[in-house]
Amino acid sequence: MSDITTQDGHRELTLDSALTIYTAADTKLQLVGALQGALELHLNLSQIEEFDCAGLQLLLAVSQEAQRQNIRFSIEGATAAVTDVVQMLGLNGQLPFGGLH
Amino acid sequence: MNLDSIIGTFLAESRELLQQMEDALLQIEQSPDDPELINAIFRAAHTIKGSSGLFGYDAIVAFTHVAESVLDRVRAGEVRFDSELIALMLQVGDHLGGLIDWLADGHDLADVSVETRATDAELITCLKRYLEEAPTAATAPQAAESDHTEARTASGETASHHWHLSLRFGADTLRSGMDPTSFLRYMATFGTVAHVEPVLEHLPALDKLDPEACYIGLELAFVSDADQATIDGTFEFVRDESSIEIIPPHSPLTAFASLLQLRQDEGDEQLQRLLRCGSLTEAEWLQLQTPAVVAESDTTSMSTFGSDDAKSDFPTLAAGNTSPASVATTDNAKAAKAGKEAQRGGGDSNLIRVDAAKLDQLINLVGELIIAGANTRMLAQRSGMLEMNESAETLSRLVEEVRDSALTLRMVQIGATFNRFQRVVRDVSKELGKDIVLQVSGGETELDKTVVEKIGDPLTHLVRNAMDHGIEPAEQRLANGKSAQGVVRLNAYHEAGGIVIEVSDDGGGLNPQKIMAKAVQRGLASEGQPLSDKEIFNLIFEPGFSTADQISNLSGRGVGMDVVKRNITALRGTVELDSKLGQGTCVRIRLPLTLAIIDGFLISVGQASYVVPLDMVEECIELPGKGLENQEFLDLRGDVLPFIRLRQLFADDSTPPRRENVVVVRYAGIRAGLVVDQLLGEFQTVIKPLGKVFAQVPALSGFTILGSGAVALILDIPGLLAQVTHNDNRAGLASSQLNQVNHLRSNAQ
Repeated sequence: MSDITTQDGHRELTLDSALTIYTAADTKLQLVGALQGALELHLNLSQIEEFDCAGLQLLLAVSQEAQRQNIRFSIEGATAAVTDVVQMLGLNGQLPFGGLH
Repeated sequence: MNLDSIIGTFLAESRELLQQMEDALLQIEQSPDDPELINAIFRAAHTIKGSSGLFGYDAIVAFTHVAESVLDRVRAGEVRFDSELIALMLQVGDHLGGLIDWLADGHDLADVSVETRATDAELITCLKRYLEEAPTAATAPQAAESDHTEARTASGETASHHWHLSLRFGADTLRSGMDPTSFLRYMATFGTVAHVEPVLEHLPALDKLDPEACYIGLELAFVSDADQATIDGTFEFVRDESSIEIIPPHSPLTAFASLLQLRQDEGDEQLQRLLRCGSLTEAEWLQLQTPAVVAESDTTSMSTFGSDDAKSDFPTLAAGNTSPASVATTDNAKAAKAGKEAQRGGGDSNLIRVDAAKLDQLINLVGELIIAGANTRMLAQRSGMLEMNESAETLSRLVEEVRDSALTLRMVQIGATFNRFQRVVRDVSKELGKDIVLQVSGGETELDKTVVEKIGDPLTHLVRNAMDHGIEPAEQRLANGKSAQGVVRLNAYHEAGGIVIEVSDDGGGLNPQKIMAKAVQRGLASEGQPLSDKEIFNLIFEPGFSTADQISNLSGRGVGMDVVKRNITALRGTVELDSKLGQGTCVRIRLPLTLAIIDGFLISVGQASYVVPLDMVEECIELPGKGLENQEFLDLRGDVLPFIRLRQLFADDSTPPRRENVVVVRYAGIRAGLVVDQLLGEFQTVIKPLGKVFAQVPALSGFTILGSGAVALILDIPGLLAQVTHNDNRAGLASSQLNQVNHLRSNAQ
């Protein structure tokens, strides 16, 4: 299960196993919710085993949205599943990765 | 749904597509530049390739791809459909049909015969010729062409050694199970992606984002020795909804100009991406911006770019399977295509593919329903309850409607069958060296699908016969004052509850004397037998008759016409021939509309009931009481009407009633009366075939079950009328036949 902890607008969201076309709709709702009223959002992807373009688009959109709202956004613990896709599509540097798995 | 049934659908669809392709190819002979037809042909090839790919029939994909590439060039106006290319494409269709049949028989494509492989290779070689040919002069001349050519020659070709791929995926790409990454992974199997530029401009803000839509685009620099076909093939399943542009190495600068034009909405960023990919250098970009070229890109539409490219002489370009010009799809073309797809989609969605066996079952059930309904109706009448009667009447009316609509389900237009003969005529006229055209009319006439299926062979024979024996050689035609081009006509129309199909030619016609002589020689007629011309002509349907002086490999072996007649008789139809010496021949086939259920007219003689097909009944009159005892004609308002006494015909010993009736029937222009006891009125008749034992009885065509459960015999009116015209049979049926009839009748009582 995904897991969100909140403390004074500082949020940490851990996404579970898959971030793909199959889960994208649900994940989007979670992410939108997590961004609402947040000052900082840390996304933990260490559980992600499956990742595709739908997931990637979502991360990109969240990243842009966070930037627009001046929310500090970071991604932690990205697994190989995630980084493979990001590298393949030449998106290194487009997403705020920190603490690579 | 299991795989077998999907493959079954694939095979059926492919055959249909090949048929469409063939039809279009034959039509295109008349109008070689009709874009509709060219598109139809292309679409057929394209779809077959696509679905073959789905099932992993790589041999078909590889073969069709080459054909498709040629067709693509035709579509782009670089190659024109001449008779040679049409002939080649027809062969391509035949070859594909052969492969499909091979698959349908449950074989593996890997096991095809050596000949098939040879054909495959030969056709590919022929097709490739169209791809290699420098694409010159084929396109329509354009104004200001020379100016443009000069401008472009100055712009030259790009230096990059890699392919450039510009990919914008359709919104549904992810939903349909494709992922841009999977394309990249696949491409890595035959090349190296040197540089990737993601295109993120189309990604909306988070709140507008449809999480399942695809927004990401890619610009790729791809190093590979693969040919365009392989690279093209990667995007086979997304091509329709996506914008996929593939630019081969060393393409002319204009290819990139077109690309930038196409990606106009992405502005400068797209240019930067091209530069970062190394597909375009700064210097080349500056060169592109030279006024001449810019002017060109402003004034000329995308499509002109395409054809201009094709005309410029870049050898590397022509060596590829398809030029970038044909790869670059213009917005206009795309819009037109989308429109057409929509149209097609609309048409398709109104159609359901149903197993013919299910329809047969439905018709059978409707048949049983009619019988059961008749029974209910009879019981209701017997009960004397008014309300019950009313309800039974409503029921039978509804059953009748159900019957009609069930039967129309099986009705198909004969046009498709007729059009197939375009090919036959084309091939045979080439083979015979005669110039013959086929004229088709009445294609919208509908008849039962089973009949349509079974009529194909007899028709083929008749058409071939007409071409081989009917139409004279050109010199003879000219000598006889006819045009050199012979005409074979196929016509169909409805007549008296049946359909008439005519196969006619404007050839030499038949010589009755010659036929008579032959018939005497073959022992089919005796010398001096007084026969009308019509009777003589119809002798050629007798087994073992052929008038051809020379036996050709098409017909003339004398096994034809009698087989034709037998096939048609098996469909409860008749065939006759009309001919005028020197003017032509017409073979007329009459077929019942359906094989299963008819509207009948119920009559009775003694205790037995008989059914006459209602369509053939003209009127009913009372038999004039006196003076006809030994006569076989009566006076019907001044006309002579021959009649048959059914009581006599079936040797019914019962006493005739005081008043007898005459049912006047007409078939194929002959009119006769049937003398019966009682007229029982209209009756929905489900035709049940008689067993083999009774197959020889000429006066009966089947039986049906009445509401009471009794059996009624269906009279074979064409057979009976034939007896009226042959006086010698008037005496009645032979005793052995009578025994059979009596047996049947006793069952019926």
